[in-house]
Amino acid sequence: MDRIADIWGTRTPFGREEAWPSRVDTMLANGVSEDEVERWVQSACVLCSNGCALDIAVANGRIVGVRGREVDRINHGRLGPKGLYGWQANNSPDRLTEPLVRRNGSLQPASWDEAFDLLVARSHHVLEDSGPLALAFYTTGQLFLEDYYTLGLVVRGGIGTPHLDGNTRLCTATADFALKETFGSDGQPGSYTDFDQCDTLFMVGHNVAETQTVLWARLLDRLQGPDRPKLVVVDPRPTPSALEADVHLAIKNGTNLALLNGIEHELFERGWIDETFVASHTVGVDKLRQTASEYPPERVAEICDVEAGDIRRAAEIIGSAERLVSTCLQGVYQSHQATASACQVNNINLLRGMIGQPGCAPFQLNGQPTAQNTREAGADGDPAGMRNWQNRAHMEDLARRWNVDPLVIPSWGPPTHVMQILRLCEEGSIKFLWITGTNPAVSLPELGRIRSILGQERLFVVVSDAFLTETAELADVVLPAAIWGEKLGTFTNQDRTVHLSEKAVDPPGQAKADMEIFIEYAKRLGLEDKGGAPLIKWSTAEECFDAFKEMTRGRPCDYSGLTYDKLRGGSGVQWPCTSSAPDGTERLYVDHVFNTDTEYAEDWGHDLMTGGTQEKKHYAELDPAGRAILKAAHYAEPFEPIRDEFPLLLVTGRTVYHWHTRTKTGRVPELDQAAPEPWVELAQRDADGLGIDEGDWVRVTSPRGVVEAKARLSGIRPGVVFIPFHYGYWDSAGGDEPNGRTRAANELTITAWDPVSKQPIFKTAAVRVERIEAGYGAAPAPEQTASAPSGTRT
Amino acid sequence: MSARAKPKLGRYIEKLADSLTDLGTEYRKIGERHATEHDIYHTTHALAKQCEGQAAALAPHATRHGGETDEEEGPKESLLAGLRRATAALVGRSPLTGMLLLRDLRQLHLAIEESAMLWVIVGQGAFAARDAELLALVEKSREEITHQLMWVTTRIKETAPQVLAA
Repeated sequence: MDRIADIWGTRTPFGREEAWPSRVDTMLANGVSEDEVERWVQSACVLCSNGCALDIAVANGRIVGVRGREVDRINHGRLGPKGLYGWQANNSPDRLTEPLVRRNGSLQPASWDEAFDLLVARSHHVLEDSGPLALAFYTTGQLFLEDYYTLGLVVRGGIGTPHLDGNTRLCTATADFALKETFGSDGQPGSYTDFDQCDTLFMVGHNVAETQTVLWARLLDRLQGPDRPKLVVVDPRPTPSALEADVHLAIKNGTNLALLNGIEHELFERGWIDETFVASHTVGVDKLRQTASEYPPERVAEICDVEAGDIRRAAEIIGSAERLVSTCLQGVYQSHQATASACQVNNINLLRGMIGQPGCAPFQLNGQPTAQNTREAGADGDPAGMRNWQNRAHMEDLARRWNVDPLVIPSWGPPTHVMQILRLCEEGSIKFLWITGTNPAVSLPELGRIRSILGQERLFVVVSDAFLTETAELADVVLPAAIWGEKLGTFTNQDRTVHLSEKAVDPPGQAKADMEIFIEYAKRLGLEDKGGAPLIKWSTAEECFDAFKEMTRGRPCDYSGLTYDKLRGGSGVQWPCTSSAPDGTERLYVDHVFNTDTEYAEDWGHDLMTGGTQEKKHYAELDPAGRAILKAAHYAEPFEPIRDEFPLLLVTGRTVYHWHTRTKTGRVPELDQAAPEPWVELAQRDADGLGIDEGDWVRVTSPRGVVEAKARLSGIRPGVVFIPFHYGYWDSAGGDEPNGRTRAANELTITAWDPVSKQPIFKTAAVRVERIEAGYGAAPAPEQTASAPSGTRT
Repeated sequence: MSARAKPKLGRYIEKLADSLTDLGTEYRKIGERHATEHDIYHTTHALAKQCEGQAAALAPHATRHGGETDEEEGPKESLLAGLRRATAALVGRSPLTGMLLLRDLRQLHLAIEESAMLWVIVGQGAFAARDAELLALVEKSREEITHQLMWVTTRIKETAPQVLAA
């Protein structure tokens, strides 16, 4: 079967209460048969947050394919197109195989010793000259738990700088914060089996069919089976899920909060509230009711530019649900008023009393496969083990376990988010920046600014990666990293399922696992604990895992009952996994007691409008004491409203065939050919007004930059322009910067972020579009997904 | 309206409205002066609107209690504002900006405190005058001002270590 054309594979419909049938998907390299496979090595997919379990096929010391693991609770054997084809990137001839250092302006091969000497000498120099706050670290959602935990200890317990973040900031920071605001801590309340058992699905800004194809296969099997769940979808584009919906609300981007307040208005107005649940298990309902009362459907219809009747119909479906699953993702997290909106998704399930039972859960979904670990292990700014940086007892406990002076660990203010790290690099007080496994020169907003910051002479940039990315091109030292399949470790998906990923093959050349690189760095830098012993006590992934699981004992993400051996052979296991729950925990909050005890909570919350941090006294005064917190906020205009000069709204996003900035997927022939170039999606009506035909070259301009690509006339809502953000410059003529046609969507995006989660805003920027010339033929955009030509799908 | 007009309360409402108008101006100025701190730019502009909204909401109460507030004046994009933004971009790459930012946020904190205390005073007056309508406005606005203080404190806590120790 051609799984590029058939994205979701064969349907296996099933009804509520039934188990999702299994279907084992396999892909082997051309010409390799199953008998030639020497070993199948257990792992899981790292090309989205679903984390489908798979076995890696190995022959002659090389990865030759993959096969979904039938026993696993996440995918029941299935794999999506990126999982089936993406492993080929490991074998790419473009892999970095030796360290590079900048000499006379260009990157040249060097030994590990030379690279480390340079790295360590510069670290010492900056530390002596300017102190720990002049060093910063920016990591990813692509490494393993063990890499992150080691990094977190080096940076917070060793060097002692607050400047550590992950690119999870762009992907799931809002999920993390919305969960903390409402439930007191991070941690997905529900389980994938809730999708099997719900009778209603409410999906906000979540193009699941493209971003999590195997989860969509599961939902399609429900939607095409008996007891079809009702479906409400909020999205400005006609995504595959929107086409299946009972109600599709194609709202104007940037207006999520108004819509969700409007839905809550209807729930209150029509009495679709579980008053007993709300009274016993939540705080804040009066404020929420009062706020929602200002959003009657007619007013919301005007703000969001949809029909009031559709808002009422959507609310009625949600209000009549008996088992409601709500989800949100980047359409909420990367948009205006992100955390405030994501909190309303939690609120809707709480108002209906639908949480902690089968088929009932709000899902704050993740983007990347290991984003959950970035958050748990403390590589995104949150202290390890979901501890509260403001809670002195938590931080002293952390210091005791690490055997370091509590004063070393920065806990005097909110951890520095990446946009602020970049700002401090810009004004010059950060002089050393180490980037691991991510590509900010393509993925952060306003790329002209980002390139000029990273390119500064006075900033020493280190990049660890598997490929020479646009960011690596700007570095002073580049370290070759081993990736998935080439190292041992664990990672956790978006429903708390922990998978073990075994080492299948050796890394190419001299590439090393990130954990090993950090350990070596710490050793050479002379990082020690209070007693003068080496700071990092482990040398293997398993030893690191054991240290981490002790660190999580008694915290929400309790791994204490897990071992590598327990993860071998069968299905992944959901944390918390403890001696009293040795097989893991399917759902959190089954007793409706939330993690909001003041001393236990991971966070004491924020003002949603300004991001002002609440202190202990504010939380104690609210006294949630195990009840969930219904946070309310009013809609406000986006930071950059459209105007005559820039009359259209830009939204950036994903396509099913690519991952992040295509460093891997762009090197996989099947995936590359499926979506080889960027495109600009326009509504037919807007295109008509501008004299643009399908396939014409167009120029999109914002106050910050220009993108040129071919036009796709699609079913997107009028007034909105979509550009996929995956495309940078490594495979175009310019190397690290635009040369010829500028094509990275982030040339256009605005430097702005959510006040609470600090997630950059990629879904509202004002632009104008003009035709450049005829392009001959259709735009290079996929046709089975949201980017389908208008009028071709129903 | 059950409450009788209280001219002294009216004058305090005026004073509060003036202080809110000034605070709004201060927010905009600081936002422009630190335009390279993108969060500060956006948040200060949102909070300026909030202050101006509060001042506007006070106008009928001032009139009712025998005071008067200035004719409502929309915020104007002055020449100076553009100049401040341009200067921000010029000095944005100097570590000195941190020092300036810390100073401005400290002064902003004092200005918010001034308005916050005037809201307390007007609230007490409204209580004594049994003016339920004014009290409702006081309650809503005091919550907003509390959040403004929370924000500026957070931002100062974030800025100070880098400016003082890096």
